[in-house]
Amino acid sequence: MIEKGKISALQLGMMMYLVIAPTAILNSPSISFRYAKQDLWISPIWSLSGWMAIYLAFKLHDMYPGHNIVQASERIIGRWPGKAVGFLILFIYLYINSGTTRLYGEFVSEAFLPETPLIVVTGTMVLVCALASRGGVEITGRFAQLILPVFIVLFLSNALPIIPDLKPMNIFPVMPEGIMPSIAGSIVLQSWYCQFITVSFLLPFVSDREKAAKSVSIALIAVIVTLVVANLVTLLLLGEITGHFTYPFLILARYISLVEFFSHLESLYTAIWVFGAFMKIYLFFTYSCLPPLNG
Amino acid sequence: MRWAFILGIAVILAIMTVYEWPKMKREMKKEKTAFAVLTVLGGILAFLLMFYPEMPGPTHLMNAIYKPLGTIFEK
Repeated sequence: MIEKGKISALQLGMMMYLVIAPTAILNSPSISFRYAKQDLWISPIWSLSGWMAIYLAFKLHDMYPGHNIVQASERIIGRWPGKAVGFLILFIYLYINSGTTRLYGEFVSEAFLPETPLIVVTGTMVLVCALASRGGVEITGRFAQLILPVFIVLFLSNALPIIPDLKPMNIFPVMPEGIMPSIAGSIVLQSWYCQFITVSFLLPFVSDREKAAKSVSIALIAVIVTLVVANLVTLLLLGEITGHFTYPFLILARYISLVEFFSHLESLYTAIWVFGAFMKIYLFFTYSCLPPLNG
Repeated sequence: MRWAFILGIAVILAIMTVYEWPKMKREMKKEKTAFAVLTVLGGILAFLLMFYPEMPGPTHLMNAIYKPLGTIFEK
C-alpha cells in the first residue's frame, strides 16, 4: 500500500501539538515539581531538545527530500547499518506507544473506572487506534483539525473557572536558588519535546513544505505556553502539595465547582486526555507502519 | 486463567491473520513477509510473557542507560 495522502502544514502543526500537549499536561507537573518546586512553571520554557528535534527533522528533509528519518539513515550510513538504526527508531516508537497506552489505562482506571480491568481499557484504545491507523496519513491530519478546537475549549474550561480560587502568593519566592532547579525540572520534559522528531515522518506528505517550519515552531511554542499555563494554575491552586499527586491537573479539575452548579468538570478533563491519548497512540501507530512515499 | 489468556491471544492472532491476509495481493511479497514475521514474533513474546512475566524488557535497558543521568539531578 503506497501512501498517496497529503496533509497541509497547518494540520502538521496541529497534529504535533496534540501529540505532545495532552500527555505532558497529565504527567509533567508532578515530575517537574520534584526538582523545581515552586519554579515548575518556568521549567517548560527550557525546550532545547524540542528545537533541536525540529531543526534536525527539517535539515534532514532538506538534504534527503521525500525521505523520512528511517530512509534517510539508510542513505547516510549505508544499507544494513541504516536498517539497524531504523529498526531502533521504530522500536522506540513502539516502546513509547506501549508506555503511553499503559499510562492512559492506569489513569482512566485509577480516576474513573476502578472496577474495569486494565486490559479492557487499554485493549479498546489499541483496537480503535489500530483500525483508525489503516486510514492513512490524510485522516490523521483531518482528525487533528477536528479535535484541536475541542481540546482548546475543554482545556480553557478547566483552567478558567479556577481563576478566582488561585492564590498568587504561592508563586513566591521566584527562583530562590537561581536558575538550576527549574532546568533540572525540565529534564524529564525533554523526553516530551524531543518527540517533535516525529515531524520527520510526516514531512514527505506535507503539500506546502515552505510553511511547515513555521507551523511546527508555532506548535512547539503553543505546547510550551499550554504547559506553562497548566503548571502555573496547578501551582497557584495547590502550592506546596502539588508533588503529592500523580495527576495534579486532575485534582484541579475536580476542585472546580462553579456557583455550585458546574461541578465534576474532571469529566471534561478526561475527554481531553482520552482525545490526546488517542491522537498520540494513533499517530505513533501510523508512524511505525507508515509506508514510504516512493516505494 | 492463564490458559484463558493464551486462548484469547491465539484467537486475536487468528482474527488478525484472517482479516489482513486476503487484503494483501499476490505480488506483495515483502508485506506478507513483514506481517508474518511481526505476527509470529509478537505471538511468541505474548506467550512467553504469559509464563515468565519477570522477563527483562526494554525498560530495564532504559533504566540502566539513564540511571547515571538521574543521579546527577537527584539531591
